[in-house]
Amino acid sequence: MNAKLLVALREMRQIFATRSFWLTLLLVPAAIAISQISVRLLQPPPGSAVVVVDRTGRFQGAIQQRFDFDRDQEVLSALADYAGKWKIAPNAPGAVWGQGPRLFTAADVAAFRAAGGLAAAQAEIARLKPAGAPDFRPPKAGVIPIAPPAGLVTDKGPDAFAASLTPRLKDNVATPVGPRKIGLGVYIPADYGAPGVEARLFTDGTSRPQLIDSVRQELTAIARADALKASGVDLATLARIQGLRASISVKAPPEGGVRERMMLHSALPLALAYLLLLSILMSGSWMLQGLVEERSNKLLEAVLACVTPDDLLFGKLIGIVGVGFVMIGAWIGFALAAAFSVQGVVADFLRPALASVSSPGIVAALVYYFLAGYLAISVMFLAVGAVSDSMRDAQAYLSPLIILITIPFVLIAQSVLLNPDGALPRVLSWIPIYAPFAMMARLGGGVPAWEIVGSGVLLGAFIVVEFVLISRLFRSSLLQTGQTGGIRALLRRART
Amino acid sequence: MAVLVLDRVTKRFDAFTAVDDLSFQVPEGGIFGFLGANGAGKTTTLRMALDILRPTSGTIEVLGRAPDRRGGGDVGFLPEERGLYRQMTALETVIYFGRLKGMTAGDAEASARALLDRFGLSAAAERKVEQLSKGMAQKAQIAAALVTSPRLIILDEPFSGLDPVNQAVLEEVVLERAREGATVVFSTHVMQHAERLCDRLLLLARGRKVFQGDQDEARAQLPTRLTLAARADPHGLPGVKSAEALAAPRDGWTDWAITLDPGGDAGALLEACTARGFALRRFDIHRASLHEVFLHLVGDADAPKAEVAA
Repeated sequence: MNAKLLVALREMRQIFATRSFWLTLLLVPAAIAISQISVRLLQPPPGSAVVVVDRTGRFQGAIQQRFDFDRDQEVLSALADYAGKWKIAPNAPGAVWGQGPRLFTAADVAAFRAAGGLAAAQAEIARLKPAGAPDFRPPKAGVIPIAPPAGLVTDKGPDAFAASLTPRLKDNVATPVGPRKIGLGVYIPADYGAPGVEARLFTDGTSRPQLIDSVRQELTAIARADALKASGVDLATLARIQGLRASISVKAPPEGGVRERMMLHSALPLALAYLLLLSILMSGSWMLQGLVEERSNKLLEAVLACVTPDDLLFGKLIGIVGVGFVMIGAWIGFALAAAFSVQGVVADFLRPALASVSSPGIVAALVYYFLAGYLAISVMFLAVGAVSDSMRDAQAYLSPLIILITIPFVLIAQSVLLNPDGALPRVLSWIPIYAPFAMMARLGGGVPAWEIVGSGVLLGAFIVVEFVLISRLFRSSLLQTGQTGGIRALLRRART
Repeated sequence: MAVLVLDRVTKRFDAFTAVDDLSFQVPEGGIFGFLGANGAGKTTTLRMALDILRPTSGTIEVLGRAPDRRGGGDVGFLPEERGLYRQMTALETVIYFGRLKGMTAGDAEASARALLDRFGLSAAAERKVEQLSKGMAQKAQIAAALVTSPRLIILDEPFSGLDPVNQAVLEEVVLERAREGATVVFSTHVMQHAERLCDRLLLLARGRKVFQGDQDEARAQLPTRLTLAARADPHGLPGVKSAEALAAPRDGWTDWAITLDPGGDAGALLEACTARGFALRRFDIHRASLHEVFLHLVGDADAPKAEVAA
C-alpha cells in the first residue's frame, strides 16, 4: 500500500481510538436529542381550569364569551399554519384559515363559527390534505372554564373564597377535557362597582398575563358601558361605541416569504460551514497532538527513514481529511435520520432546508469549498505541529490561529442570516481562509456563478502556495528541536 | 562491493559545518564502527545516508544508488532517539514499519511475529506500547528496524539507553545478522562496543575523518608499550624509545615500563633480548585500547567521554 495511505490510516486509527473523537461524534445526535427534549420541555403546560364566581351575575357571560373567542382565535391560527405547511391553503380559499396566518379579528372568528367551526374545518382538511400529512390536531386549550367545584365557598365573600380555593390549587379537578389543576380563580363581589370594591383574581403562581388581561378587558368594557349609560348615552349610541374597533391592518410575511425562505435556505449551508469549522478545529487539534507526540517521543527519525517528509505531510493530511469526513458523514447521517424519522422541530426545519442544496451545482460547490476549507486550514495545524516540541509550545501558535479562524466565522454566520448578500460575507468570500465558510454560508441564498468560480480559483491557488511553503517548513522543521528561532526564522525555513 | 560510499561529502547547517569533506566506503558484510565523540558528525552522516538530510556537497551511494527510500526494505535503521506510538501494540508497530518499507501485510506480520518471538516478546505482542516495560519497547523498536531483513543495517548509537541485558541481546543480534551476510554500520561513542564487535572502524572528529581501518591498524597508530622484569637496564635495546623503572630492584630484578619506537614490534624486541642473553623474568605486551587510540588521534578535547559498557 502507498506510504501516504499507510500514514493516513495510522493517523485515523489513532484518532478513532481517542475518547474525545467519540464524544465529538456524538455532539450532533446529542444536540438533536436536546432540541427534542427542549421542545417537549418548552411545550405550554396543559390547560388550567378557571373558576369564575360572579356574585353580580352580570359579568360571567361576557368573560365566558371572551374565553371562547380567544380559543377560536388560537384554533384559527393553528389551522392557518397547518394549511400553509401542508399546502392546503390554496385549495381552501373560502375558509378563513385558508387565507394564511395573520391576526384574526372578531369578524374572522365570527365567519369561522358561521362556517361550522373546528369540526367543519377538520372535515375540509381531511378532504384536502395530501397523502402523508398528519391529521390536524387543535392546540390544547389553555383555559378551561368550569363551574365552582364542590366545597368551594362562593357565597361568603372573597376571603372565604380565597381560603377555600388556595388549598385546592395543587389538586386536579374534573373538567370537560379531563382532570386539570385550577390555575385561576375570579371572584366578583356582589357590590362590585361600588367605590373601593374590586374583583379578586387568585392564581396558582403561574404568570398568566393574557388570561388576566382578557378578564380585565371584559370587566372594563362593562364598567365603561355602565358609566356611559349613567352619563345619558342612549342604547344605540352605546352599542355603536362598544362595537368600535380601531382600524388596523397587520401584515406579516406569508409562509414561505422572503425572510423565512432566506433563513431556511441559508440554514443548511450555514450548518455545514459550522460543522466544517467544528470538525477542522477538532481533527486539526487531534492531528497536532499526534505530530507533537511523534516529535516528543522521538519517533520522527525512524518514520522519516521509511517515508519522505512529503509523504508524511500528505499522509497526515489525508488522515485528517478522512477523520473529518467520517465525522461529517456521521453527523449528516444522524441529522438526516432525525429529519426523516423524528417528528418535531428538527424534522420540520431540515426538510425545507434540504431543498436549498438540491441543485447539482450548489452541491458541487459545497463539496469543493468543504474539502478546500479542510485542506487550507488543516495544513496550518500541521505547520504548528511541525515547529512545536510540546503541546505547550503549540499553544503559543494555536491560540492566535483559532482566533484568526473563529472570530470572522461568527461574524459571517450573523451577517449571512441578516443578509447573505451583505458586504461582509461578500468581502470575506475573497479572503482564502474565510472563503470556504463565507461561500458555504452564502450558497443557500444564491451566489452569482462568477463569484463562486473566482473565489474558488483563488482559494485553490492559495492552497497550492500554502502547500509549497508549509511542506518546506515541515521538511526543515521536523528534526529540529529546541528554539524555533521566532517567526522570522520560520519564514526563512518556509522560503528555502 | 561497497554498500555505502561517501565521496567528499560536506553538510553545513547555516554557518556550522557538521560534516566536512568526508569520504569513505563500507565494504559488504561485516560490522563497521562509526566512532566519534558527541557532535562529531556521526548522526548527520547516517541521516544523509538515509536521505533524511541532503548533503551540502559531495555524493553518497547506498547499495549502489543514490540514497532514497525506493529500496527501503534493504536498509534497516535504528535511530539514536527512540520512541514508539504508545497506542499501538508491539506487533502493530513492527508491522507498520515493515509496511512503510514496502512489505505486504502478510509478510510483515510473519516477520514481525518471528522477530518478537526471537526477542522473547511473543506474549507481549498484542500489548500496547504504553503497557510495555522500557526494555520491551526497546526490543520492539529493534525488531521494527530489522523487520524487512535488510542487507544494510544502520544503527545510530544502538546501545545508548539499553540496560546490560538488552545490550547483550543487541550485540548478539548484530553478530547474528552479520554472520547471515548483512552489513552492519553502527555509530557509537562507547569504544568497548566497537572493540567487541567491529571488523572495521572509522573515527570522526569535528566532522572530519581521522582514521579508517581495522582494529589492529588502529592500535598500530600508538607506539607499543611493554612491561619487562629484567636484571639489566633495557635502554639501548633495539626499538626501545623509552624505559622507566617502575620500582626499586627486588632480588636484582627491576620492573620497567617500555615504550617502543613508532612501528616497533614487540616480537622483534623479544628476539633481540634472547639473542643478546638479556635476562627476562617478565615480558607483558600492553594492548592499546581504542579509547587510547582515539585520545592519541584526536586529542582529549574531542575524545569520547569514558563510559562503562557491559
